[in-house]
Amino acid sequence: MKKRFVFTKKLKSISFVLMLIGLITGVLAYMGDTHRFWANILFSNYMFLLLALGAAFWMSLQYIAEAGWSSAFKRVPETIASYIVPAFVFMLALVFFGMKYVYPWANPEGHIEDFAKYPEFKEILEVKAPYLNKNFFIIRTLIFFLVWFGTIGILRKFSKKEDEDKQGALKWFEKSRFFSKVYIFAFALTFIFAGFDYLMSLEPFWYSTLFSIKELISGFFHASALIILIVYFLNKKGYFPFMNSSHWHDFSKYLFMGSILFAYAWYFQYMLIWYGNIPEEGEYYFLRRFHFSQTLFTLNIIINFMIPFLVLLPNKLAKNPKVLLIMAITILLGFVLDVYLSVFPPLVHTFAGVGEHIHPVFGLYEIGILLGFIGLFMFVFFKNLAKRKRILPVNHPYIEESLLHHNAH
Amino acid sequence: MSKLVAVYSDDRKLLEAADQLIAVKAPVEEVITPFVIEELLEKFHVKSNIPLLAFFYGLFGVTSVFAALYYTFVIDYPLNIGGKPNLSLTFPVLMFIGTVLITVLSTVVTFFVEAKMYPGKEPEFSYPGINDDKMVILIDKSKLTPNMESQLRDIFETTGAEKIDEYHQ
Repeated sequence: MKKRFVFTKKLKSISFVLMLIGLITGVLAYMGDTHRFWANILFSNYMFLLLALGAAFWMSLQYIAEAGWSSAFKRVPETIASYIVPAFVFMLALVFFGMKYVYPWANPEGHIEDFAKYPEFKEILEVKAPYLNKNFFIIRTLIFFLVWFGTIGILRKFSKKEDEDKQGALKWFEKSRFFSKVYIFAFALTFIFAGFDYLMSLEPFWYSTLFSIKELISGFFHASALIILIVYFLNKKGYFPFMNSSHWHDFSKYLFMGSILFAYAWYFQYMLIWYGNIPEEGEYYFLRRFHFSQTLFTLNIIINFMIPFLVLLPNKLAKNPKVLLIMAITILLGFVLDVYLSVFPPLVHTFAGVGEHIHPVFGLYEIGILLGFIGLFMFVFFKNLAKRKRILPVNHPYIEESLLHHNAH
Repeated sequence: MSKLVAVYSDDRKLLEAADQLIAVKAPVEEVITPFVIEELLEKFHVKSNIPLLAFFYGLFGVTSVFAALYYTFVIDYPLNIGGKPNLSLTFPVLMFIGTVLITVLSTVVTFFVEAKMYPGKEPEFSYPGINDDKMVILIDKSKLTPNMESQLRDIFETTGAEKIDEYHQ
């Protein structure tokens, strides 16, 4: 059994090539279309930030439930969560340099024509100004990341202590269990505002109290897909030789459950807004469905709910690692689509002017910068994974249970 | 009809006995336990068709509830509720609840039919402690070859059965 993860030269060069592509397209985008450049930075960075937070949520859930089967894979979500460091850097860059390009409330001068057409917009922005202003936004960003760094950092620290401490490993496990509860509480509390700030304030005239809950659920669901993708890769490389169909089956339960949860969250917001039928609330969906793209809007729920639900329903398919790999990739593409539908319509809308018919933009810039972020994520993930002395937890109380895991059926 | 009864109170001993019984191809009629032992189902290759049937009940539930809603709200009695379309987006809520109800009730009925159980049925087998914490292996004596019975009794004794008994009906 291989003990320590080796960050091979091949992987390193792949991640560097991807990062280079991202850098080149980033520079091109910055020179060509600064609006689109910052929109892309928000789009890609937010996606990986949400995956990192969702993975930490997944890990906390394992601690709280005292799940034995997953303890051997503990390093994977723990290391995905380490992406919050670069996420912080990009969010800071966005907050300091790109805010006026992306958020309409930070740039009233750029919307004078809109205000002339719709004077109530200005009024709404003035009412919301005590919350939506530049300084408070910067302070909030710092608070969010401070809380996330603190809670995730404590969990990582305890995990390291647990590896070193032979006698008192149980003590660290108990502490991790307690701090998982702290993390979930802090994450839920801060993310409700973070989702509000980073995505919802792209349309400051609209608000929904369900929006952040949907994003939170989506983060948890898609992070489990990413965990499956990485576990599949590491298993292929021979790091988890003990894996059997029971492990895969338990992983697939997260995808199955997550797809239903996502559909529920997607539907309750849509249905309530549809039923309420208030123009300023309905505007959000009206823009996406009728002005942006009906196809993409419907495709979102098909990819994220219908396909995983129907494919993972039969017992035999749910245990098959190859099927799970395909499902994980499909669901991650669904995540790209979901975040794309959150970020881009209002931005394209602002470029085009209010009330005009708009078309989805997805071109070289989007793909290139997304690839760059994938490369960055790969680099951060594998670098951090290689830092740990062993890929399996050492003194974890449930590690034996995980190695010998076997479900009937 | 007489049966050979082996009483256990430890599920690990029971599983050990089950392994040996399968090895000698004993005619095991029934194993009665106070809780589900999934390894036992796997060992005896007991497969249930209820999950598959439940899926079809679910499909039936979705379509029938949708048909009922469509008939009432669109065809038979279309009402103008705030100018909303009659084929409403709130249908999935009722479809979901109706599907769960139909699936659960049909699955319970299927279970009773498959187990040949109905209210007021006479018990086929009863033994002291069977409703409490005892696990019981039943073997049909009429299917036993003469020297097999002593072999089975040996197995029960070595695996630590609490009691080996006979049951006559």
